[in-house]
Amino acid sequence: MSEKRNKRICFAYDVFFGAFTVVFGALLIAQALKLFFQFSATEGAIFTRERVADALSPLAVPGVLWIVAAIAAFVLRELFPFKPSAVRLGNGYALYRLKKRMTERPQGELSDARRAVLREERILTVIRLFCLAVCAATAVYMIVYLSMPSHFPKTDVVGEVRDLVFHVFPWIALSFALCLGAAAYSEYSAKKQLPFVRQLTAGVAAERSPSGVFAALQGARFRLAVRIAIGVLGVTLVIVGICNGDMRAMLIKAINICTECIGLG
Amino acid sequence: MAKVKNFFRKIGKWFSAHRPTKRRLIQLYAALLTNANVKGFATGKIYQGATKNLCVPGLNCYSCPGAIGACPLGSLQNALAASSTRAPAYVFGIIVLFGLLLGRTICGFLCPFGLIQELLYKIKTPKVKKSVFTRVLSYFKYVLLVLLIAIPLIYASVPAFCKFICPAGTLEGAIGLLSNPNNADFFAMLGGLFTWKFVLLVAFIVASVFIFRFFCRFFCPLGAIYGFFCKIALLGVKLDKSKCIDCGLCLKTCKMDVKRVGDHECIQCGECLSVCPTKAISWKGSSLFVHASSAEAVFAPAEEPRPLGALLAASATEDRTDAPDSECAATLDVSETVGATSGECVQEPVFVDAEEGRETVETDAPRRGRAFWLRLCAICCAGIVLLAALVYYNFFSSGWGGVVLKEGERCTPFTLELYQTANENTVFSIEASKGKVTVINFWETTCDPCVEELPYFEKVNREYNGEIVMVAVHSTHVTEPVQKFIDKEDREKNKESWSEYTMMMAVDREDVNAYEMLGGKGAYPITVILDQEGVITCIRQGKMPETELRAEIIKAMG
Repeated sequence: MSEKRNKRICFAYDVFFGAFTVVFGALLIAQALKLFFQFSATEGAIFTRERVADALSPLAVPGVLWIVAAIAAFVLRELFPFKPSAVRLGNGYALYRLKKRMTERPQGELSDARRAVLREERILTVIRLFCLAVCAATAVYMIVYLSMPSHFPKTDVVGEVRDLVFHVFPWIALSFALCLGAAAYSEYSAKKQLPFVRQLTAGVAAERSPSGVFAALQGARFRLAVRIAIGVLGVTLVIVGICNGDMRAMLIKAINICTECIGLG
Repeated sequence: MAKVKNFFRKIGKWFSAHRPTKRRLIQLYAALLTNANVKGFATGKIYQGATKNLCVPGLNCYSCPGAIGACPLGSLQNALAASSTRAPAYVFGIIVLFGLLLGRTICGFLCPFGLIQELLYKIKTPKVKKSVFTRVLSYFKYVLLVLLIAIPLIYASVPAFCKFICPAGTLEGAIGLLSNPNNADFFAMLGGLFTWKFVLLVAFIVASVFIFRFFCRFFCPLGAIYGFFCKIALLGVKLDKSKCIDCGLCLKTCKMDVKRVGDHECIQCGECLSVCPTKAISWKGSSLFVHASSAEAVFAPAEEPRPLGALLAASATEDRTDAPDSECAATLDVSETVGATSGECVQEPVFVDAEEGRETVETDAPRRGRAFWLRLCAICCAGIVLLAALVYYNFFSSGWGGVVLKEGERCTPFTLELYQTANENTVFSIEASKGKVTVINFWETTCDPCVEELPYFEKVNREYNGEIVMVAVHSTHVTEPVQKFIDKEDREKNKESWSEYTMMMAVDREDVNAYEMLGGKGAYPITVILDQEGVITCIRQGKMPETELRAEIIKAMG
C-alpha cells in the first residue's frame, strides 16, 4: 500500500477518534453538571457514592469503547505505517536567523530593501509598544482591584473570586487578544521582509556576536557569581524558615487533607 | 522454522523500537518515588510522617494518598497566606534551591503530572502544532503566577490556585481519596467547587490528548517559577553557539514553545540533543555521568546519515524555499502527529519521535567504560533508594493503631484539658457529659473552613443555653498557641470575641488521639455528635452547614 494511502487511513481514523475523545469528555462533564444541578436544591449531600455510580454507569460502555478505539489507533499505526512529514518553522524564525547575519546599519543612503525592512521594523515596534502598554495597564488595574478591601468583604470566597474573574479576566483576555494579533502581524511582516533580508544578507555567513554589557552578562564568571549568590540565598532562607517555625507550619498543612485544595468543601 | 524465527525477530525489533526512553524511565521512577506510600490508596489515608517536611520538586498534591512529600505550590500559597505571622522563608528557600540545581529539568524529568500529560499525548489523535499563537498564550501562566502570589498575600489564607484551578489536586487528591470505599463519607463534602474542578480536570485531560503538555505550557505557575532559573540552573541543556549552524532542527523537534534551546519554555527533556547535526547541544552538569552529546543526528530508519555539507546545503535551500506560501506555520491547524505537510523541506533529514524507532550511535568511545560503570552505580543506588522507600512507607510507617469508632457505637471515655471555658470546669470528660447531647468539633487554626464554622457553632450553643455540651477540640499539631490565635482573631478580624465563647475549647493529646479514634482521616473539620447515652449519632467530615448541625442535634435529642 502506498504511504500516502496509509497516511490518509490513519488520519481519517485519528480525526474520528479525536472527535470521539471530545464527545466522551463532554459526556463526563455533562453527567457531573446534571448531578450537581439536579440535587443542589435538595436537602442533604449533592453527591453520594450511589448517585455518582448511577451517573457514571451510562458511560461505562462508551468508556470501554474509547479504550478499544485507542488501542485500535495504535494498531492501525503499526499496520499502516508512514513516514511523518517534516515540520516547518514559521517565517519569523527564518527571518530571525537571517537577521543575525545582517551587518550594522550602513552610513549614507539606504537601499530600497533596507528601507522596506526598517519600515516594517518600525511598524512592529509601534505595535509591540502598544501591546506592552495595554498589558501594563491591565496589570495595574489587576493590582489595584486586588488591593481594594471593599472588593473582598470576606463573606463569600467563591463569590469574591468569581467577581475577581469577571472584573479582571476580560482585561487579561483583551491583552492576550492584542498580543495574538501582534503575533499574527509579525508573522505576516516576516513574510514581507524575507525577500528583502535575503537580498541584504546574500553571501554573508558570519553572525554578529554580542558585545559590551551583553557579552559580560553571558560570561561564565558572571553566571558563577549569580549561582553562588542565589545558592547562598536559598540555603539562608531554608535555615531561617526552619528556625522561625515555617517548616513545622508546612508539615502541619501537608499532613492534613487540604479539603479546600482538592475541591472537597 | 525460518518464518517463525523471522516472526520473533520482528517482534523483538518492534519491542526494541518501542522501548521506553531513559527520560521516560526516570519520570516513572520519580512518580513512584514521590508517591511511595502506595498503601495510602488501599487505606484511603494520606501519609502523615516526617518526610512531609520536605517539598517534592514537581507538582504532586500533598493530599494524594500516596504522596510522601509536600507540594511546592500548595506550600507556597499557604506560606504566603500566613505571611502576616511569619515570613515564608522555608518554602521560598526550597523553591530557589530546586530552581538553581535543577531548573526546568524538574518539568522534563521529575514532575508526575507532566508524565501524565505526556502519556495522554501519545494517544493517536490529530495534534495541535505549536505556533506563535501558542507562544503568546504560554505567557498566561505568568499571569496566574502573579494572581497566585497576590491573592494569598492580599486576600489572605486562600490557596486560590489549588482551590480553583489545580487539576493535580483533583486527580491525585480528590479522586484518589474518593475512590476508596473507606472514604464514602467524604462525598458529603462535595459541592459546586468540586463540580467546577472536575469539569476543569476533564477539560485539561482532553486538551492534553491534542496539545502537548497543555497544562504545563499555559497554566502551570511552578513551571513559570522554574523558568526564571533557565540561565543559571546547574542541570539542563546548553547550546554551543560556535558549533550552531541555525538549521532549526532543534526547534522543529521540540514540542514546547521555545524560541531557542534552553530558554524559559524549555523543559530540558534533551530530545533536541539527538537531532543536532553538529552536536552543538549538550547537557550541563558533570561530564562524569553524561556524555556531552551521546548520539549523532537521528534519522528515520533505513536512511543514511548525511554529511554536514549536505545539511548546510539543505539549510541554505530551506532559506530560499521558506518562500511565502499559503502554508504559513503561524496558523493553528489540526494536522498529523509531527507537522504540516510541506513539500519544500524534503531535503531535510526527517526525524521521528525518539520512542518510535531510532538508531543511535555512541561516538565517545574512550569514555564508554567509565561512563558505563558510573551509570551502573547510579542505577543501583536509585534502585536501592526506591526499594527502601517502598518498604519503609508501606510496611514500617504506621498510623493510628487504636480502635476507630463508627456511628451507632458508644464513645470510648476520654478526658481533655480545657484552655477556655465559660464555667469552672477544667477538663472535658465524655462520662461527665452524659445525660446531654454532646457536640465535639475537631478543628485547626490553619484550616479556613474550621475557622469559618466555629462562630455559628457558638451561636447554636448559646441558643441551647446549657442543654447541650459543645466542645471545640484543636488537633495535636499546634503551630502557635491556640490562645494566641484567638487573640488575633479578636483583634484583627473584628469578629465577635472568641475569648468570650461559651463553648468549651480543648486541645487533643497524642496519647488520647480523640480525632483519629472518632474517625478522623486527616481532613478538618470533623463534627461528632453523641446522644445522651454517649452513643455516636453523627460523624460529619468537612464543614457542617448550620441547618444540618441543628437537624443532627435535634435527631440526637430523639
